[in-house]
Parts: sequence; structure tokens; C-alpha cells
Amino acid sequence: MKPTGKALQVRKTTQPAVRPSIGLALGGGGARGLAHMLMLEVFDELGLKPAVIAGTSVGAVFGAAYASGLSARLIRAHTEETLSQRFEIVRQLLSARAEPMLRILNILPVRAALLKPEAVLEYLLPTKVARDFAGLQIPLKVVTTDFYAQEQVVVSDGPLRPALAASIALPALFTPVTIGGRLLMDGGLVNPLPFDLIAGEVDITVAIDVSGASMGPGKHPQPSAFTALMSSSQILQRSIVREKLKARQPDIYIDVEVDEFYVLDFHRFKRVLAAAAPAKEHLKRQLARVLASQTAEALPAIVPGEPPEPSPPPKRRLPRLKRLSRAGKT
Amino acid sequence: MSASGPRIGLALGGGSARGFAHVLMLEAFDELGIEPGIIAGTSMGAICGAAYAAGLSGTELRGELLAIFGKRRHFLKRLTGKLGSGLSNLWSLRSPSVLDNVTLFEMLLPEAMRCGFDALRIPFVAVAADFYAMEQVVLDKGPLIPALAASSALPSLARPVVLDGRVLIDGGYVNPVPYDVIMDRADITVAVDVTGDTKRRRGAKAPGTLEAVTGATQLLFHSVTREKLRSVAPHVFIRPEVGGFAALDYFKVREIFAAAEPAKEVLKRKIAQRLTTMN
Repeated sequence: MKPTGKALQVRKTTQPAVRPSIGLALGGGGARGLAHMLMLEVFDELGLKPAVIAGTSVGAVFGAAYASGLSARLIRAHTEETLSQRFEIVRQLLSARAEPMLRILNILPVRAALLKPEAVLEYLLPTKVARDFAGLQIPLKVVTTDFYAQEQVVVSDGPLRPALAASIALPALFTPVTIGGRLLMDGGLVNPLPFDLIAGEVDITVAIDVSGASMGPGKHPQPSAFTALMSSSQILQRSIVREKLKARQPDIYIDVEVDEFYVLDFHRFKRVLAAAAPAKEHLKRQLARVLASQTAEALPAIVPGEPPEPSPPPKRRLPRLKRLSRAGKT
Repeated sequence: MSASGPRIGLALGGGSARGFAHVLMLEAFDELGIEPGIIAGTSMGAICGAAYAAGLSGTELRGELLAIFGKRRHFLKRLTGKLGSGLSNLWSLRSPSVLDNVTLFEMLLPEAMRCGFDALRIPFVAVAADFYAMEQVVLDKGPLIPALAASSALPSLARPVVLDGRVLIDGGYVNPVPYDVIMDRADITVAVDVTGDTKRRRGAKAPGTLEAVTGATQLLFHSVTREKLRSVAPHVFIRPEVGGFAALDYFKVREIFAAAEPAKEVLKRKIAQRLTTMN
């Protein structure tokens, strides 16, 4: 990862002290995606606003909330409340282990047993989330998958909720969503980490990967059939991201080390957030460093390939950052 | 193939029953009189590749598969004839995943394949996925059958296989077409992708849960291969037209063979071209 490479390139072509534009890609990964809230907090704490957000699945949902103008803190409070108290039924549905297996095996009447993702979103989303893409303060690209054409469909205008519903519509749990005559499903099937959608539009691309974390080899129990099935789709998404990163990289890549395996473990809220705390600090350091090198006028040249950490930034950069931080909040 | 000729690396991908198409690709090598210098396989590709590496010709493998899957009746007979007390090992409903691949393969695979990797005529590697580490494991030593069982342990159908303390599942989950693991050991890399065509026919109704899940899984396999092709590509990439078959269409073995015929000719032509341009 060379977060400074592009930064230097940009500095040559733009005016000094002009703030670089940041594109934020929030990946899919079920319950691990709760970690996105911490990453959004980083933007608030640094007083930064992404110029564009791309999101897949759970990343699209949190991206939409943030793009609607809600602060990360508010999103977190709402999510915590929703998942821990208010919607016991939804929570149970989301964490039910045995039932989806029966659906998969076609034992239950199939269509009736599936959740409608629009309905679930209606319950879960804060009411202040925009109804339409046009109402967003930050442009948003929502990644979905066309089931029949087997290709990526990026939704960036029109009603917001159907797009989000499609993006989270993991087969076997949710019904697919039809938009514009296309049958759409979870965007993670084609693009679990959509930084490529915004790379051309911004100076700095930030990608938050929640597709998985290794639990390493060792003594693990044999997974149950249902766990194996649900997790295997996660392993595939992880594999897609891995292969993708071989060909293209974002400027800042954050691999959120949450080894929660189950896609549906939304009730393990606190554990996910605790596990993602180091990733938050990592993102904060990376962003601060890239911005400092972009905005300060007389920085010492950075040799390409120089390790980004741990040397502390020169003192004169700090006032600049503080000023930015304040400016961003107004 | 003379030892001085270019070394061909053959990668056979995963695709369950669709992987029967690999038989024709192996026949193509037989007909060209060329032997791959190394073979890599995932899932059904590992089974077919290992059979070839063990010395079975493409035609012999065709015969084996027809004997097993050619008639439903024969399949059951073969299975029950060998079962005896093995039944409870094979189908264990108490265990979360029903099928034990190791037991199944011990019953069904030909004698020549009951050996170690080191006894194979052609160097061979099988790809499996470490379930908990979410990463690729390349298997190239020890007994062959457990490795093949791991490489094709499709989650929820077959029980994961524990090897060296790792819980292993179907290699398709990390590397559906494993050409990249042998590229540095071959002059020409040939990859066969049997996950089928990417387009799906639109039905009158919305897809049922089972169709949605299998379709989504297929899509994920494709996405992995698509992304991999962006960074590194094999010299020859073949995709037999087996998309019309479901993963579990094992008893359509003849139809799958027929569907793969055109790809066999394409493969022969492409390899011949490669060899001419290299000479």
C-alpha cells in the first residue's frame, strides 16, 4: 500500500492548499459492515466530507445514511438502539440460524418465508435518510447485481430505498428487487468493494473492506451446514476482493479485521465495533498523513516507497489540519 | 511430447457435474499426442486432473464416469454393493453436512487413484479453501483421495475435510480456475473454466430460493475469475458451453460430454497454434 504515491502526483497538478477530493468506497460483508460506522466517524472527527460515496450491500446502507447528512455519531446511536432494543422481531429474523436453512432446502413455502428487503430497510433506516438520490448531500453509487444478465448494475438516481434494498438482497434471506425491469440482488456478488467506481472522479480513493478476516489455521470446530453455506459466500466475496486488489488498488485501503464469521450476526454489535477500533485509528492516521502531504505548501519531498509510519508529522503540519478540521464542520 | 518441447501447464476448474467437460479436454491432449507437464485442479477439475495424472487416458476416464453415472440404477447398485457398513459413514444426518467425500471417493474412484501425489505420472496439485483462514491451500503431497475430497467439499452438501489441522472446503471458493498456481512452472498455461455461460434464461416467475442461491454462487465464482483475469491471464482460456446444466446434473453425463465437443476442437486448435508460433 502506497498511500502517498498518488498524493504526490496530485500535488504537482493542483494549487497548494487546495483540499483534495476524497472518494469513499464502503464494501459489503454483512454484520462486519457495522464497522463502517467507525470509519464514518473518522471523517467527522477530521472534518472531512467525501466528494462521492460508493457502497455495496451494508456499505450502501451506511453510505446512504451518511450521504443524507446524518452524522456518524447519530447513525451509530440509531443503529445501536434499533438492533439492541426496538425491533426484536427483525433482530430475531436476522439472527435465526435454522430457519433460512429450511428455506434453502425448500421445506418451507419459499416465497412467503423470505424477507422483503424494502420492509426491513423501512424499519431499520433513520427517517432522515433521503427518499431519493436527488435529496442526498453527497453523491452516492449503489452497487447491485442483475441476476439474469449476471452483471453489475450501479444505481445512482431515482428512489433510494429500492436501490438499497436491491444492494442488500442476499439470496435465500431476501427477495430480489425489480428496478427498471431488471431483477436485482446483493451487489457483493459482483463487486464487494466498489472503489473502482469512483477512482476516476476523485484525488484520493479510500476503500473500507469488510469482506472478512482470517481466523487463521488452528483448532476450529466443523462448521454446521448452514454456517458453511452462509460463510462460503463470504469466502467468495473475499476471493473477489483479493483478486481485484492484484490488478488495482485504492489510495487508502483499510482491511477491517473483524473475525466475526456469520453474515447475520448483527446482534454482536459491540464485539464488531470493538474489533474494528484499530482499523478506525489506522484510517485516521492514513487520512491525516495523506491530507497533510497534499495541503501543506512546503513539505519535504517524500521518497516513493518510504514507509508511511511511524515517523510523526512535522509540527508545522498540525495547525493546518486543525484549521481544516474546523472548516469542515461549518 | 519430447522433453525438449515447451512445458504445458493445464488448469482444470471447478463446476461439479459441468466439470465432466474436462474429460474432452484431456482427450484433446491424447489426440494431439501431447502430455501436460503439470496439472492443477479445483473440485471436479481436481478429480479429472488427478485421474489423468495417475495414468488414465481421457477415453478411460470417460468410460469410468459413464460406468458410475451413465445409469442411475448402476450408480445406486455400485454404491450399495460397496457400502456394507459404510452407509452410516456416508450419510450422517446428525453431522451438519451430510456427505462424507472421503468415504464416497474411496468407493467410487478407480484403483489407480488410490495413491499418493508422489506416485502420479504427471506432477499434480489440487486447490482447496481453508474455511477459517478464508484463503487458498495448494495440496501437493500425501495421499491423493483426502486431497481430492477436500478440493471438492461443496459446503452444505459435503462435510469439510480436515487436513493438517485445517478445515478445508471446495477450492472453487478461493480459486475456481487455478491456472495462476502453475504459471511459473509451465511455458504455456491452458485454463479450462467449466462454470458455464454467464447469462441466465429469464423465467416467467421470479427465481425460487434454490435457483437464486445456485445462480448467485455461480455469479460469485465468475466474479473471482473475472477479477483474476485482470491481473494475470493464461495463454489459452477455454470455456466449454455447459452453462445449461445444473451443478448437480451428474446423471446428464452424456449430454455434458456432447455439449463440450466444440470446446474440445477449439482447445486442440489453440494448442496447435501456440506450439507452432513457439517453434
